[in-house]
Amino acid sequence: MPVQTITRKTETAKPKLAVYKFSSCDGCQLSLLNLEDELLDIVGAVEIAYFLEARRAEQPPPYDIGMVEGSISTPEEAERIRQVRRDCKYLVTIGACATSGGIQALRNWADVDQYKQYVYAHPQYVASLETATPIATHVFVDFELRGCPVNARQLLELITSLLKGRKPNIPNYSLCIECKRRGLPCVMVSKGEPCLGPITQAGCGALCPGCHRACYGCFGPMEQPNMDSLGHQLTGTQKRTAREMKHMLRMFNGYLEPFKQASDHYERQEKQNA
Amino acid sequence: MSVPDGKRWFLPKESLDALIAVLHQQQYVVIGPVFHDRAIRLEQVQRADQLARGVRDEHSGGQYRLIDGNQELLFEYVVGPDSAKKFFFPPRQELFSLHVKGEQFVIDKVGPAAPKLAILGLRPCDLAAIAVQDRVFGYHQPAGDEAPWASGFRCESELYYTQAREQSLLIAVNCVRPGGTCFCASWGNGPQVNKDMPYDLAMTEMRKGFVIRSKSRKGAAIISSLSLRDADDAEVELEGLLLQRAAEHMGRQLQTDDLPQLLDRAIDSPHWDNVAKRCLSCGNCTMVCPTCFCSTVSDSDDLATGSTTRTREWESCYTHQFSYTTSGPVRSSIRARYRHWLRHKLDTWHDQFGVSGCVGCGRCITWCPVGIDLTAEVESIRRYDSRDENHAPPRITVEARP
Amino acid sequence: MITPAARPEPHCGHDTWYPLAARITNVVQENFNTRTITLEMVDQAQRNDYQWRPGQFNMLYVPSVGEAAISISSDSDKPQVLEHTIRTVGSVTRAIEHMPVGSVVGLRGPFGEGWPIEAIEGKDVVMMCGGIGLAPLRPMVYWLLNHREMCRRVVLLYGCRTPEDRLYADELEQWHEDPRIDVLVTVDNATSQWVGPVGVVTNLLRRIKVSARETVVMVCGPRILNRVGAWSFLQLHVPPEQVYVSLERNMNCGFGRCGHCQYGPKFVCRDGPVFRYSDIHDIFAKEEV
Repeated sequence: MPVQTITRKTETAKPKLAVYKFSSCDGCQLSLLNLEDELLDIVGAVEIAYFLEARRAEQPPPYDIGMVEGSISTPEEAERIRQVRRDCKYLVTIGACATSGGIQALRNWADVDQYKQYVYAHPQYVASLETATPIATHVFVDFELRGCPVNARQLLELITSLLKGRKPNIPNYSLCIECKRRGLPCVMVSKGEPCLGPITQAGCGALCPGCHRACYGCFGPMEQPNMDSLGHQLTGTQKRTAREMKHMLRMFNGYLEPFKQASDHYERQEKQNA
Repeated sequence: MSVPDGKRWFLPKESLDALIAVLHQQQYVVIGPVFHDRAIRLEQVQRADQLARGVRDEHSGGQYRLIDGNQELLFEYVVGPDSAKKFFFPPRQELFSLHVKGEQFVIDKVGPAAPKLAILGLRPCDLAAIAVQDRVFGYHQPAGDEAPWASGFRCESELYYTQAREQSLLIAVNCVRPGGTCFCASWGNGPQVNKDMPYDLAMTEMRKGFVIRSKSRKGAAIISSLSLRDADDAEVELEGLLLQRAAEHMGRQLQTDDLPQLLDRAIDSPHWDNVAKRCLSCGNCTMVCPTCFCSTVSDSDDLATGSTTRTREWESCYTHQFSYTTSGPVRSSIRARYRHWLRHKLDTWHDQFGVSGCVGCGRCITWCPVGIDLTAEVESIRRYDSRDENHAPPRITVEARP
Repeated sequence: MITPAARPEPHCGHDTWYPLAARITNVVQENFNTRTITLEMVDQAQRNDYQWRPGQFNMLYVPSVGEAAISISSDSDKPQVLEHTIRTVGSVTRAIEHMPVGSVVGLRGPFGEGWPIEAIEGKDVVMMCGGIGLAPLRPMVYWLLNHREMCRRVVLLYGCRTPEDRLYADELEQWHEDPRIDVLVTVDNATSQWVGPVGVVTNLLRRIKVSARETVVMVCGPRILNRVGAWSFLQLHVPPEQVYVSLERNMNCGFGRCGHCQYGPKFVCRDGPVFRYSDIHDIFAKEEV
């Protein structure tokens, strides 16, 4: 992905950072705020021009870096994202919601009106779209940060690399590589856990395998994931059902290809079996 | 200086603590196999009772389980996912930090100093792997072995690796119970140590203790400070029997004599497509492989101090970015990446370093999440190859490979 | 604090990751995305000690951006003057593009084996290159002109997209006039001023006479030119031992340690980037090796 050199400016004009929220839980914005040790350094290097979760004061656009959290779930949001794109030179989506539609994209496989009637006493007041979709479905996105939530280190690396004009050191390879660098024994091999690590993008620092748990793919698909082979192993050797497979893949990144295609495949298989 | 290979001593089980104490006296950080995270791992130990005891491992393609074993025995398992690689060639290593001041690069921080390690419980295949990495990282080029790279850009030996190896003390344990994916015997790398392997002490476990031999001056000094008795004839004979039996019970086999030629021919083998369907390209095999040495150096910045750190991390030839050039990755398909890895291990490693890159430890088979089996893949390639020889037209080459 | 200036002279055992500081003393814009920068080591002793051969490359380092492998394109008989011709394609080259004269970059090298100076004695030398591929061959041209008695004929065949894309345009004109070397330049797309040949660079082979047994060939260009170029000489019955190709790979360490640039049994950084065709013929035609 090309990185624009956004900051070849004089000392006085620090690049302006804007952070936006769409349909989301705020967790990714919190990841930014959780960078306690580095937050002051970031504030020293960029000007936080628009970040409602952190400060009330806001400066008018344009902004140099825009970070977008959340998916597009309402007609209002679909409008607003276009303005955000116009306001930001460099647009980054942060987190699973913004890059894949997030957990709320599960409704894309269901009837939203029916849901509304179950949940709300007066569903007619709820204005929402039929689908929850990633930002990149609506506008051009310069860079995507995966994860539910995003990894704070990756967030810092992205900001730093934009400031320094280097290619962000944000890998697309499998989680396994990070996991093995930490020296963790493979949970799939040593415990027979259904781990999505071999098809999931690295970046979290192998959090779940570090707690003896299988990866559930919150960073979404890696480069060239071999869904067939892992699926074959999980349904064959590990004897997972098609239903289990579908549920594993339809989590935070279920609406992102090729997780979507694979989960649809297991849904069809589930129906055939029934 | 090596010591004659014949001499054996006997180290009672109770004296393991004394051995570790001697190592501590000599300022070694002692590493040994421990039971941790449902696997046998190599970690720092203070006392002998921290070593894994009474566990056996079961290995098969993509499966590793620990089960209860004989409580009297410490080394009933073979190799876990860890190897000595992570100590001499750390998974993540800061090389240096610098900042620019005027026209100078000012070094803020140099890389970490090499540790002084005594690694206990290495297997013969691990030693063979260390010998392979010694060549890769330029430690003790054997005299007369005029390496092609020595004449090019001033032969570079890796400072950290060389120092860490120089200071290290390697205590091997011969294997009396090979694992299900072991095939070291096919390479002549086990189940017992041989004179070409870089070890200081080597032990064979019995019920009451270890028959122990020394190869180096460092090892001999430790033996004498422990004031061990000589092993008696019965113990030496039993050691021989145990090791012979182990050699006959390898979980896997590989015909190794013709591999470079086979894989040279097999560059267009249809079998690569079959493997590519199964290979996840996840990199697990390269990470657990004790000889794989690929790495990437990248920059990171400290915004507060303005200092830039260059960090080297293990990398895998299975990643898409690994062969990235401005015109795209050279090996963009999983097929090509698996082919590259296998041919490198078994074929082109010989051209580069004069040895095979595979030592027969079986880690890549055990720790592949989908159980791709190197020995089986080679056999399939061999089958295709023999068919090709009968039916395919002769290969057209400009000239024979020199 | 240790500065790289204080580090020991390169010899077996030192830590090769430290970059030497080099300052940019001159910048020439070659075409819309390519510039030639002149470097000199900041440290006088390092400057005097630095020796290299045509075809070798350096790893240029921009702190906090990264390193890129760039071949040296100046005259190896004046080893203190280090020119690098750089096309902007990635983040490191873009960072260098933005650097004015007087800036400091890091430098490690020289790496690689370079062009086969030993092999050309008493032979004809034909160099074929395309686009940025002229940069690694330029030191070879200088060397041949400096030691003209070494070989018989010297021919340079160069192809690029348009006349404006030519590297070292003034020098090409000079060499064109020089009786010691034959220079033929072809372009893919001609402008109204262009009176030279149009078409791919291998077409130029029709315009020269190659005495097959007595010719050493050097090819440097994009992957497709390397292939087609090398093969077209083989078709003219130039022995494969006398055809040399310069390859491009992703490089990280420069000395055969990191694995990135592997090409079959070769490390392009250490054993190459220049290879004799007969040494790589079995993998040269293969994809994704």
